[in-house]
Amino acid sequence: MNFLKLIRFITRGGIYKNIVDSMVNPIIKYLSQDQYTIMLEKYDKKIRKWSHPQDNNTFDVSFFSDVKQRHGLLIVHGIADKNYRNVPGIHNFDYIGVSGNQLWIDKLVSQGVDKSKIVVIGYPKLDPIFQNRNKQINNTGKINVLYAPTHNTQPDNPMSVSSYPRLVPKILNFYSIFNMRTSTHPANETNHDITFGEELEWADVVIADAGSTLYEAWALNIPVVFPDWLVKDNISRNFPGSFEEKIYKEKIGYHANNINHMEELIYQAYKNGLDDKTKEFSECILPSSIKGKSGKIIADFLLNNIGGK
Amino acid sequence: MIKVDKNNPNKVDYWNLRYQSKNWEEMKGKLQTEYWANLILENLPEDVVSNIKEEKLSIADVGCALGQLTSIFAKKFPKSNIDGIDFSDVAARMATELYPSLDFIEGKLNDNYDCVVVSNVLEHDDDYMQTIKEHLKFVDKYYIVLSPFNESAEKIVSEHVVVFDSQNDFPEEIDGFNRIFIKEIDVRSSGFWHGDMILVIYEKKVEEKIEEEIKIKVEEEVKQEVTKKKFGRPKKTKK
Repeated sequence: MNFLKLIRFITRGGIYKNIVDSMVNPIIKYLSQDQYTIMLEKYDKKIRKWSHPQDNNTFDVSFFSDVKQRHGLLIVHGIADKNYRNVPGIHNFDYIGVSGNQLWIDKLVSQGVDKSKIVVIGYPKLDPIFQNRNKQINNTGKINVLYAPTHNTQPDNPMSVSSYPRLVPKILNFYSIFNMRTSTHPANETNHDITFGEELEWADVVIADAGSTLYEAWALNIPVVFPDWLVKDNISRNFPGSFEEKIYKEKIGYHANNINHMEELIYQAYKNGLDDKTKEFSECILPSSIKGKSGKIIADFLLNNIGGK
Repeated sequence: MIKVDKNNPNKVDYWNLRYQSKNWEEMKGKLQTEYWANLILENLPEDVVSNIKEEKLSIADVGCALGQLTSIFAKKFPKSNIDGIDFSDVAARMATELYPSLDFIEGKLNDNYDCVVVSNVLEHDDDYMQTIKEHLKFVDKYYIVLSPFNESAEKIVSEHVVVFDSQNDFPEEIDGFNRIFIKEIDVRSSGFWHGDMILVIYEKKVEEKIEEEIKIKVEEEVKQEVTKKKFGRPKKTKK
């Protein structure tokens, strides 16, 4: 197949700007300027969907599945599953990118996605970290703990899959025990910074719930502690059959039943690191063989299969 | 003064999280700040109040959180220029949204004010005396401190790393400032605090002020002299 089209990256402003940029930048590094263009998507209030003008001369790369124009390649903006690829109309995309191999392929195929549409592309956002590992040595005598909860659109909703802000009062107590840092999802943060690079390189242990950060931490060999008592049931209810449900059901990683247990598990996680079960699962989500190479894999795929202008 | 042996949690990140997650408001932080502001105003000596009013003294509320004290002081002293300062960028932003007519600054005290108010701040600071000394460099007249006093060992708030338990924790003289007022206040009935508070006021020594004025004058004279030498006297032009 050789379309000889201009590659068009469809990005989004606002709170997701930094996240999408961190996905696009490692890819365009391997493209020449005449091979791609970047377009900012706009929210159409009438149809309540994000949209951009169609262009038959371009091959679009989208980072969100809630777009009006579903075509081209979908590279989901996060590495988490959250059944994000299990939405009506997903089949309209020409290709659907996944970060890992069989586990992802089996899941999408079971959801009715044509196997030929599935492309294993890794996760470009982590490329710069893998390419320039700068793990900081912690000489403080205390454990560096990063609290990185996922997006919570309804902070007052007890059914939320995010532990934020319900876990905050306990996390505040941890500041007196550990070297704590918090990195909330950009949607819940005033200055819209992203959980990334330096913070992950700093962390010895991560407290996460259902977002990309948990996979990012595992990919970087950082153990994750989960607040089961707050989110486990909500994850099963909201994301049945997802990888996140599997993580909680099969207790992959360190799973706390209450705050005292969480404190205990932080020490354990720091001492023991990732166990074999977690390593095996993490390997399925993002294989070691493609860590740090995602941008090039995607660029090559686009050039070989779509054909840059 | 007792130093509490624990990891000091009072980092910018910690406070940003408290404000951003609304934990501060849920824990009645705003109401408490209003209460502290009114407590200070009720207990300030009359001559200090009238001096601030008459001289239109500028005021900084250091550790302003969401700005309730700043706002109450702005109403009490409408002719004074008043700024709120907090090291939490989230607090400064949220305070600006709440009180758009007032100025809130993210960071440390690094500009001179006639009067600096430090309410419920120093107990979070394991080197509080050094912080006072840093603050005093920017104070032209009054330095007003309100802090918990004699906090009971069983009920120490996790954020507090210092417990003030003697009036000597606030010496009679610090770096050219005299302690002009000190008062222990029982606020148990308020519902905002389970013990006593201590209100302390320092005033810059008059001789220090005079010395400083002389120093400034001398410096200006030297400057003028240097300028004269550099550019020379204007030549008289022949008629």
